[in-house]
Amino acid sequence: MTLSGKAWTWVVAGLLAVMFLGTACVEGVGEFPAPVEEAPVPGVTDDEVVLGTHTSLTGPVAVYSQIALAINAYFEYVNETKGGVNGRTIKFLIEDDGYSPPKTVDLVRKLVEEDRIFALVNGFGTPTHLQVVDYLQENGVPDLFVATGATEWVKDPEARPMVFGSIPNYVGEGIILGQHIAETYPGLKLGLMSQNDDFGADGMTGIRRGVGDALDIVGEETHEVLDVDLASQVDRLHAAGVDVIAIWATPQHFATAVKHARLNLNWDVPFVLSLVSANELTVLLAGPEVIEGTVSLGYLKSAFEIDDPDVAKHHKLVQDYMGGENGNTLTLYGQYIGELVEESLRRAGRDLTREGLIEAAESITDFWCSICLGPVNTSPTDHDPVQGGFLVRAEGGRWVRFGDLVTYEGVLPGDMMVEDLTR
Amino acid sequence: MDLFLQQLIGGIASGSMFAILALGIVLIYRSTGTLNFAQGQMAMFSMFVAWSAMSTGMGFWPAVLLTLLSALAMGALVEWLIVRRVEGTSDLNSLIVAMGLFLIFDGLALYIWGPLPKSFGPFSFFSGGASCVGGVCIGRLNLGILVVSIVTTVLLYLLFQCTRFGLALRATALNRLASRLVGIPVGRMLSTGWGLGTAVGAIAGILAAQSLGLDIRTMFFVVLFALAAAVLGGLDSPVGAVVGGLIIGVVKNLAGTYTPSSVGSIDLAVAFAVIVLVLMVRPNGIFGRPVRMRV
Repeated sequence: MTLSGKAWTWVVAGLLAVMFLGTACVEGVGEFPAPVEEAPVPGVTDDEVVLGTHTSLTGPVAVYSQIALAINAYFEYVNETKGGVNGRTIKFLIEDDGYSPPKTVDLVRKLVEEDRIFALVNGFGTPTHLQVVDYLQENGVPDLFVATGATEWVKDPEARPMVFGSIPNYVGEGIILGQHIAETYPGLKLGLMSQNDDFGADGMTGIRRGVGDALDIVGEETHEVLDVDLASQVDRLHAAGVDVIAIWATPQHFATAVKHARLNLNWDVPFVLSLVSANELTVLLAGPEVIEGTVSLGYLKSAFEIDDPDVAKHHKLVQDYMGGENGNTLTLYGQYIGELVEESLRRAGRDLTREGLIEAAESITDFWCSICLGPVNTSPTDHDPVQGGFLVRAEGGRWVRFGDLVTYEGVLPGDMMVEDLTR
Repeated sequence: MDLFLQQLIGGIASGSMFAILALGIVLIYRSTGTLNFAQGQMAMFSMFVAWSAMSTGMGFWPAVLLTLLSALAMGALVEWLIVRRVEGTSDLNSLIVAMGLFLIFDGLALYIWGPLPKSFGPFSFFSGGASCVGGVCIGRLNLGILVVSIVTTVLLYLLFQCTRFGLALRATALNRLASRLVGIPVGRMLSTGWGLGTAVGAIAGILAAQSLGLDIRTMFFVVLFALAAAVLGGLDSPVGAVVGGLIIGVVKNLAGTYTPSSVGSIDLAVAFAVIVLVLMVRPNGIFGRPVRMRV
């Protein structure tokens, strides 16, 4: 049987009419009192809340996978021992982007649109997270405690109300370390070394503000992520007669710089470095002898403080829930994030909404996580949970705290100056 | 002047590291015509083997020996099991196989040894103070790297030029059909080429670990420079690989020093610009033979 064009028109019109009638009938049923149904909150059920993250389980920086795994371990611990938060267990979805920004975009869309996560937690990496930060804003997905210290996340909470930082931002860190340099080596010559991107630039901005005019900056070296080692940069600072070096680099790069200075040049120049490199990774890569005496910043307790009950508890948590041997700087950081999320969820209450979570996360006052060295404070104009820390100095392969807690509570990185520091 | 000499020494030291890895790439290329992108990750794998051996209490030199033997076997096995399947098909196939090998060794190492770096050196041969004359210093680290590189290069030269076995290897690289006709076991020679290339790569890896430390990404960027060195020198020329590596190491160091600092980190750009220039004049590399096909 074949139908002419006109006949088709009639068939279609008929079908439409039937469908219209059908809807009308269904609507008619609505005369009975229907249950009031609010739009369900994504990722939240009666007994579970679903969170997600993007991180590097593989690829060049796979070592940072430890963070997400530790957060997950902490959530499992909370689920088992406390029955979750406000009666809901936490489910944590970890996606591996291999530190590749295009992959991050796909995976975060999948987390939000298919897995319907309630919030993204601790997305890892500046170049990767930059690709999704605005997508999360536009879709109203809370973007809690990003795993980098770039000022991007915290510099303007009004423009990006969904996103929160987690580690002291690099400008603030730089100011504290710069002030230490100014006080310890006044009148001497300073050399700067930094990675040629936002990470390095933010750090150097801070160092300059902290140092002021107490030292002469006689050498400025930058390097690319692609660089194999920093030997030639160190050579140039050596030739420029530098007395102290401030360096913003990854553990791999910092290790080559300090090794070259000590082993190839017999040069015992003091290094002041970003906390990004002040951890066990550097000790393993460079060896404990060559890093002796280098100075950095610490804002969490250290894995070697096993006499501290909270650190001991952390090691136990890693053993029980991560199948690991012992905790380290990265897993400690993971637990700190886990505790921050737990506190935010607790404050958001039983009636979870995304707006409620944001309000909760920006109303944290004087919260001390079990392994924190200072209080966590946030507000609608301050999305930077930790603002400050202790100076630490490497002794026998461990960065040990010295001096007092230095903070710059509530100051945005754009305006922050050395006068904002308080002890 | 001091800075110039210092940069020269540093450039030669890091250049010799690139050179040794490039040598491995050339050996493999001569054997089966595969541009082995996985060279760096295979070297990294061997470094972890050495670390494992040493963590059982083995000394440094025995562990190195064990690592070289296992690398030899690993390379030969890879050729025999995988590369031979795509031999004689298109270049694209061997390229994809090399990419696959990269991912396999990367993933295997992550699976077996986990993501944390390992403490591996500098060992006594490479550590100790530096000797300085005026403002110019040479440390045990750089000296050790130089000595091992030179010894490796000389041994390989002797193997290829002064032994029947080396002659057979060279013959296979040059003309497979003729080699088979005169009774050279060509298949075994190809496997050996891969084995040797991998073992030389392992040496480069152990050297790299002394200054860079041992972790999964140690060779990620070293291999880029080694590939560039191999291309610069001519992919089928071992001498070219060594010269290419040294050129890249030295140019990279000096470019950073003698370009205005206002341009930022320009050393990499200059190093690669030199490569492009050389290849414009000599498309087959400095020591490469032009490919001619008889029709």
